Amino acid sequence: MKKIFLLATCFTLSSLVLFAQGKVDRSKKPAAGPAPVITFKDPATYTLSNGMTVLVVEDHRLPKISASLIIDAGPIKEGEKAGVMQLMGAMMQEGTTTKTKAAYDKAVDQIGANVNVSSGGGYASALTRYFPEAFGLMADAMRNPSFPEESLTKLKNQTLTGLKNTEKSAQAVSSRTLNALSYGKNTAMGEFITEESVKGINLADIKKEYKNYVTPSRSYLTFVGDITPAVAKKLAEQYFGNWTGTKLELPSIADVPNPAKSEINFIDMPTAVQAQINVGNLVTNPMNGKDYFALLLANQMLGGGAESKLFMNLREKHGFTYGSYSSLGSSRFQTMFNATAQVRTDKADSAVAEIVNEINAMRNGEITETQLADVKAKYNGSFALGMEDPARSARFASNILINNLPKDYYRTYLQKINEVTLEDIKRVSRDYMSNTNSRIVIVGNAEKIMPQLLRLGYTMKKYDIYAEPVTDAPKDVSADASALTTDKVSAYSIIEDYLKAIGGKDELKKINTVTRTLSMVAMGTPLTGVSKEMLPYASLQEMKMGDMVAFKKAFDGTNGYNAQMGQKAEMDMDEIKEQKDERVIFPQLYYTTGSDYKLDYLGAGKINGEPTYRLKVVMPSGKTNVQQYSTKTGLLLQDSYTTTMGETSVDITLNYSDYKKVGKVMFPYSITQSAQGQEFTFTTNDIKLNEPMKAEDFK
Amino acid sequence: MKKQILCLMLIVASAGAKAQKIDYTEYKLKNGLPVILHQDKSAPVVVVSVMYHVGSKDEQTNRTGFAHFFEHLLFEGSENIARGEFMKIVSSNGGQNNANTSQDRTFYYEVFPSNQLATGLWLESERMMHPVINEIGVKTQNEVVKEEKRLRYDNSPYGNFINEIFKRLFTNHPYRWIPIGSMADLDAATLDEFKAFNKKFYIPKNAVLVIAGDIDIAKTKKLVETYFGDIPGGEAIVKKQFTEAPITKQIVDTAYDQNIQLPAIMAAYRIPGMKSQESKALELVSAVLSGGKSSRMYTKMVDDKKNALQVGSFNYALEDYGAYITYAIPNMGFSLDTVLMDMDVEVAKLQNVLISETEFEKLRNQAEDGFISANTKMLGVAENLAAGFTFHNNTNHLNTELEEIRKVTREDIMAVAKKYLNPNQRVLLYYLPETSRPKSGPAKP
Repeated sequence: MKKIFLLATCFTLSSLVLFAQGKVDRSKKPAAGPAPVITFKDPATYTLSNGMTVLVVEDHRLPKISASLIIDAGPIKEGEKAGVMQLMGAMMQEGTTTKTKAAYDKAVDQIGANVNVSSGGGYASALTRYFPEAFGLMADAMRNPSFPEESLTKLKNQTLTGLKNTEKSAQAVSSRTLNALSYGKNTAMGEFITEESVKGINLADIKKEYKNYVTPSRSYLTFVGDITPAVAKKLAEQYFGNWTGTKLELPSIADVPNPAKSEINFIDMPTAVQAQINVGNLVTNPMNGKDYFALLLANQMLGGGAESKLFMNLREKHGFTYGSYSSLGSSRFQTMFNATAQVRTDKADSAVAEIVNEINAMRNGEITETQLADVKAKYNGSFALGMEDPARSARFASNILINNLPKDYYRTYLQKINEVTLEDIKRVSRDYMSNTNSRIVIVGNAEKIMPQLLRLGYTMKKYDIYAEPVTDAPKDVSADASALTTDKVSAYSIIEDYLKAIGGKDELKKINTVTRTLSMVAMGTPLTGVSKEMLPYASLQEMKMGDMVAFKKAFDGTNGYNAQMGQKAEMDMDEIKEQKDERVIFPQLYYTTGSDYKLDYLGAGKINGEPTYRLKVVMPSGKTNVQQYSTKTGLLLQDSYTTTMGETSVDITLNYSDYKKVGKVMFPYSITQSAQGQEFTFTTNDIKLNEPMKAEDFK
Repeated sequence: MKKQILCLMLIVASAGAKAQKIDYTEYKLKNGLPVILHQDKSAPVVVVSVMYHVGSKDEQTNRTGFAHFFEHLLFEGSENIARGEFMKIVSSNGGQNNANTSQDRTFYYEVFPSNQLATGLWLESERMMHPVINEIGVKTQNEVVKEEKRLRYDNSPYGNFINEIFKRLFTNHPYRWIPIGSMADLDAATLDEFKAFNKKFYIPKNAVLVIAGDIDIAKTKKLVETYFGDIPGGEAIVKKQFTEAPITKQIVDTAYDQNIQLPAIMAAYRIPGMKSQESKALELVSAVLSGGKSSRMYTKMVDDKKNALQVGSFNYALEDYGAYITYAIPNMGFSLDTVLMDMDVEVAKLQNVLISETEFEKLRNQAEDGFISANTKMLGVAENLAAGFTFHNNTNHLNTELEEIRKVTREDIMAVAKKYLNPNQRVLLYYLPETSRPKSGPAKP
């Protein structure tokens, strides 16, 4: 038995004052007592002739024993059979050659034991008096699974049902797409189960993978608890001594590059009430690497806990989230640095910005000696707290073997922690926590957060919940498309494009009045008429059947009326409000200039085969219109909304076509109105711009 | 199977059955603060914990969520601990801390290397003596709690299931809301209301301090006196008693969840609280029905009929009442009513046929294993001691709990099933995907 002393400077010996009688100085944190001595025993270790390593940690405090078996096969690429390893593991729990599943489960439960097996190993724990039985059951499932065909059908159905349920889970979608996008969908680390892959798995696949990967080669069996090494060895020999199997080789996996430039990968989940944010990059950080300890501390400072930078900023300072953390993996293979938060939808962009700020702060070395001493103290403390768990020393021993670490790795662990300097932290932050090659994976409600996210200025790539790229319809609205690439569509850009397409804001603003002469056919009867508009709100439409006014609508900016076949009705307050929504002549000029109109990009659409962007416009009155703009020309093709006529609500759709130039500005010469199953087409015969008008013309 | 039997004999010989007994020292400070000390020197670890006997059931109907909100607020700092420093002090001294809130109590704790015992006591005493409750803390934590609610409940598949059940199972008792409470109530609350809540509930007379781990009893007693002795004891609290009229007719309702694709069905029965012996019997009912893969519901529905993706039942035991809940998520192609019927048949069997001696022995073995696992770490011991004191008026409860479970007979199991688990006494909840909610838009002309 060896001893390790805590080295942190904060563990001092000045605790005597605490025990003196009288008042204590509450304004100061009490000094610590003498540092506890940390001791841990090396487990007893044997190797069985088949290659299985056996480790035993004796701990007689409680009448319980556990055994865990790990088969170190490394990451396994399943390809089109993704999910086969998981299903194979589940199949190992479906009965053995001597016990049906029911008999097996009963035997485990009868003694109050926990027994689990999977493709990567097994676990058994039980009261001391029942342990041999539990261990025997675990070995039986590992070595003699019967793989009944009907169980596979059941498990596949369960898996498919479970998959179905993840479609609506933002968390599940986030974790699967994060890996798929980071490592690539077709890699061992990035692949995931799909309906298709599960359906394609058959019993032969299960048996094949069992033969390939469930084997004593590269396996570690650890006993912990109320057991002696002699008894443990005997059990191991008895149940696994004559086990043979395929010899495993650890795979070698090519590194995957990070994005050349930081980018957002967005997955739309319209039902999500929060945005799930992950900012990070891939790293190489084996446990025996030179920067392992500095990275432990650097990550702890950034986002290891509730006292770390991310939590303090995103939760305690801003209240964006319940928690924000980071992790920096360590593995023999490429692994991930990742800073994450689930934040409320309207703060998604701010949260991304703050996470990036904190990463930059680490890279710029905005950290103090005190902060470094604090995280060192935390690690020193955790190491002491870990003493409660008897399994830990077994984990230490198996980690040393699996990761090829020096024998004294854990005995000098705290020493290595305590040697890390501020310079080291800054250097590893720069080397491992990128701010230029980050992948920012966000799962959330696109309609609500896309416009804000676009403002962050990152390249935006959209994916579906299966990590497949989603491309918006192509778009060549203007020669100058640099700022308006397909992956940057936003409500804002749609309106800007439209205004540009019909002549440009400068030209549009020169127009104060518009006079149209119109014609239409209603119920077989031709009608002719006129429409006048004058800034800012005045408008008039009048259609005549011969000399008789069939329909007239007038609004002078304050009041208005509708008249139909001689019946005249003054506009009520709601109608007046809606009238004001339609700021004449080009209401879109006002959509993006203030906060009167609220816009949301709804996604792609189609009108008569022409691809469109769908835009939701909430008018100042609260009325909501959905407009569709051509992805090719940028022009407004359709506007639809619901209005009330007396007691009933009526859906109205206006289709715009036949755009022609008048001067330098384009106008639709054909407007078709559909409502209540009726369709009327207004054809424009002539348009005059800037004819003099006055308010009286609209009475 | 010869090998197994041989080996069994080998081990049984080597390890006699060891009774696990948790020793403790219990006393009260002059201000009324109960103190429980448990010494265990096997690891250099100490847990300092305070359980306050306040939970969401102590809230006013229009101020729900307060107790849980305090679980956040009381990390904001004290007269001697600046805002944001509490958690930093814990971690920079090698410790870990957290808190949790139930309908009945709030539990705050630190786990430290044992040389930091005084720091733990200082932190908990500062929190009890003079926490800072101000606008900025309230405002920040208000946002945080909203995010917690979204994360745990609103954005989480089946996250609102307990909420949906409890608001139907209870109509008078404050158990009808869950600890996270209503965000509107929290928004409406004033600073003075938070201060008053603190003054009323977070006092020595409504708390118990439990210290467990590598400690020296005499020295620890002195330290406790130093840090907690001067805190005013506060006014003893008389808890309001709420009773519920029995449910006599099945309550059937539907709830919708936008985070799910698969519907679930849940049946919830109101049962006696955790202090009753009947509650223990109901624990065993859930072990029979769904404890482990050989349990009745699991075997029948997941393995044999294969109509359920998941099936389960549990005793949600609280201080005044409990809820016995059975639930299932059917596999695709099976209806909710089919799986409900299968669950109901299993409950009915329990009501009419005594369980076998073998099955009964299984339950006892499972209970013993669970009991030992619950007390392997100091934090578990501290919480179990505190709960014994708070709810059972018996700190020794954790040492007798296994015995109490062992006193339950097969007949008791049948009797509680008969008494409480009847269809006319329950809430039957169809928990459906939001997409299946009937559309109720304006009729088209």
